[in-house]
Amino acid sequence: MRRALSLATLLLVLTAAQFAALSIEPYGDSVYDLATGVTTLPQGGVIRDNAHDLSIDATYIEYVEGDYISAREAKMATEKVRFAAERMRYLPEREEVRLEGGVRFDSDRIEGLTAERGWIDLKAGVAVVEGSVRAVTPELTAARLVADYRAGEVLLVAPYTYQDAQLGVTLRGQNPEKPLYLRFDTETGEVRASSQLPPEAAERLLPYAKKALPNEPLE
Amino acid sequence: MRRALALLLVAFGLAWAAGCADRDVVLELERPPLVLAGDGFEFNGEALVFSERACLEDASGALEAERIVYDRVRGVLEAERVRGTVQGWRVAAERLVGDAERLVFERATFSRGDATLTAARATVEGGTVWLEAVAAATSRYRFRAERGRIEDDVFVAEGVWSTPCACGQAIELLAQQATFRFADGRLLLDRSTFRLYGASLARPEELRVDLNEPLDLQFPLRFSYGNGWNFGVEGLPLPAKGEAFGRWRTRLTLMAENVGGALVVDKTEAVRLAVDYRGPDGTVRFGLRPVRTWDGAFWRERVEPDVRLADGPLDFRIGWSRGLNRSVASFTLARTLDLGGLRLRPFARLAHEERTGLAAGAAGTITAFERRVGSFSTRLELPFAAAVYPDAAPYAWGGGRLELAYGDGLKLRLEAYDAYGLPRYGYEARGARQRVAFEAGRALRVAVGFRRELRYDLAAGAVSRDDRVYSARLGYGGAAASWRLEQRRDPGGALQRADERWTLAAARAGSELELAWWRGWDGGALDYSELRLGYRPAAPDCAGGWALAPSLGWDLLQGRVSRAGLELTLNDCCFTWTLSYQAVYVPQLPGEAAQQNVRFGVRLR
Repeated sequence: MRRALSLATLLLVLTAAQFAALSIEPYGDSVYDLATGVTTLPQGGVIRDNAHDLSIDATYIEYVEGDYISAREAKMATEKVRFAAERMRYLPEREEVRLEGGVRFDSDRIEGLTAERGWIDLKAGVAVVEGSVRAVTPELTAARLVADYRAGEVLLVAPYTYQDAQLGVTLRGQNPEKPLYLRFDTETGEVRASSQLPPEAAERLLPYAKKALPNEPLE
Repeated sequence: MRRALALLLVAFGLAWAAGCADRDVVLELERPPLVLAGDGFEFNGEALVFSERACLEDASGALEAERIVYDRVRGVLEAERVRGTVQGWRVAAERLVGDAERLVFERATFSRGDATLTAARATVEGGTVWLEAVAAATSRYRFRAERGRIEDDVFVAEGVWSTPCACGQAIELLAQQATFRFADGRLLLDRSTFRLYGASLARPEELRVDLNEPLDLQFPLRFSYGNGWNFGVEGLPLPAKGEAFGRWRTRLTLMAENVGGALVVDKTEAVRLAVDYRGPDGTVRFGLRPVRTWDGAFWRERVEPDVRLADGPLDFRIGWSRGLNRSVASFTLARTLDLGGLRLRPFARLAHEERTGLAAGAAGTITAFERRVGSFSTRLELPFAAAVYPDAAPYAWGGGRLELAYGDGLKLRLEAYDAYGLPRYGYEARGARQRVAFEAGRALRVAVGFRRELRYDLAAGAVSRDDRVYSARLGYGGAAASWRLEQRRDPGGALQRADERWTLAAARAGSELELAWWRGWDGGALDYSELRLGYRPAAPDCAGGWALAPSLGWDLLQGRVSRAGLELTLNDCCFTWTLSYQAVYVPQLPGEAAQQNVRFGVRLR
């Protein structure tokens, strides 16, 4: 049995694994467990999701084809945003990604955003981060941040602060029921803000501001 | 006014109450150090807009506004319909504009109690508040100033107009500059003008207005007709430099009395001239009254003096006694000592009154007992007076006054005093007397009383009268019925005179209606019996308001009108004018004469 496993591993190492729309390129070994169906890349690798224009570069990856991909010290990138997290779980069927531990988020508009947890709805193009949410540019903190990274829209859920050191102003929000809606101009990058969401945006984004993130720890 | 200006300092120092911390969105600005907040927030790339309970705050407080806009590019703040409440003060401004250097309130109003201050523009800049088109109103004054500034605790205004009139400008106080110090509440007007109906009456270089003191403005002109014409000025102020407006110390009286009219025996014509000075410590009065009396064939002339000098314990007087028909004078040295339960006023006098001579002694009160147990309270006082004379036996008087009360619904008062020896002067004279008074009830009130007092004839050196008064009163709400009987007896107890009053009175919302039956006996024989009806409406309280108070008397013995009267009260913006006519057609009371009297009066509203 043990020999059979080693053989299978060897075979897998020789041929890069192919999901329907995913390509997986291991940095080293690729170990397939016949009993569980779990494939492990102990030296990590790069996963490309062409359907979602997503690439994941991690130091350790394990996956079950058609079910999930888990990664450690993962860096994710799409056309618009870059994510990093200590632990990541990607569910291709549900088109969602969960991030945990040292979550970092960067986009053209928001740089150096860190949080404890994250959740990405790849289909809607919406990322949600929460837990000690803090960004360097612009200088902000929030209980939760919801970003439609394709449309350039952000919700800051209170309590939040938004600072502009150059103007000498600090904006604070303290009503968790009323998130601050930010919209970045796609051309100039200038921000508009409001405590009132446009009805369409409210319908699309408010559920993410209120939705409880899965709280079972990632392996 | 003082409070209104103090508020300006407070408000412009941005010391507002109630913070903005509970708003949904809060913006902290560094320059100026402010907090802007609101439940609604909008940022369009250039301006931050707060709405829904929009709020403006600094380290010490907050003001609410309908809408606050902060233009981050220009660094300019604009707020609309700003208002707030600070320790009972209401603050409201149509608009507030601010940048890093200054804050400007437009059409701002500050009010509290009876004081209101408005400014078309108020600019706060570097610790100084600049005001434009200032207006203020207190219960006693209305002010306007072209501009002003507040610095520390001093408010300086230029182009000042003020009036004590409720509306209009019959009386005006103008000044090129006015300085108001919050510390003592005094307004100093420089290069001022005092105008009455537009005519400049005085141009004092400096005029002081005590804003915290009640204004004592008595119109000094007098005009009436009774047994002759009465006219002149009474209490006409003679302002001195540095005196506060309406708080003048020196006043002049020059009155003609009973001039002209029918010439009858004992008709008296007089001119009264007096100058009064009331200082903080003492008073000086110097007056003379040349009088002439018609005896049927000739005018009898005399001059009645009226002089008083009082300073601390010293009191010097020269006056005229009608009873003695000559001048009287006294020099008194007296001082009141408060020794806890004993209040003592020792005195020494030199007098030329009914007698001439020296007197020394003391008067006072001992509070013997005072206790309160629950709703029950009791108090016993022992008043006394004593005097010694170098040429007569000493005189002493004393007794007790006991008050018993239960809550405020039951009250009993008992008094009894006796005298030993005879007083020689009115100053120390107090007669033996007794008094009982009882009051009960709150909604339904009952009061009964009895008083008896022996009165002296100081010239004769004997007790001359025994006066007794019986009274009863029943009241409910604004209605009351009362009865009073006054008796004058000789020292032996024989009845000389009695007067009785039955009264029904009703009062409602400031107006009063009274029906009375007055009758009197002279030596046991009924000498008058009169029904009196009077109505006094509530005083008018607005400009143009008026009231008419009629009264009528009916002689029951002769069956004809005994007296009639009508008083018209008319308000204008500044003054209350009164014109009254009182006539006695059938004299009723002892000493009353048939006469008609027209009186004209005016006073500041």
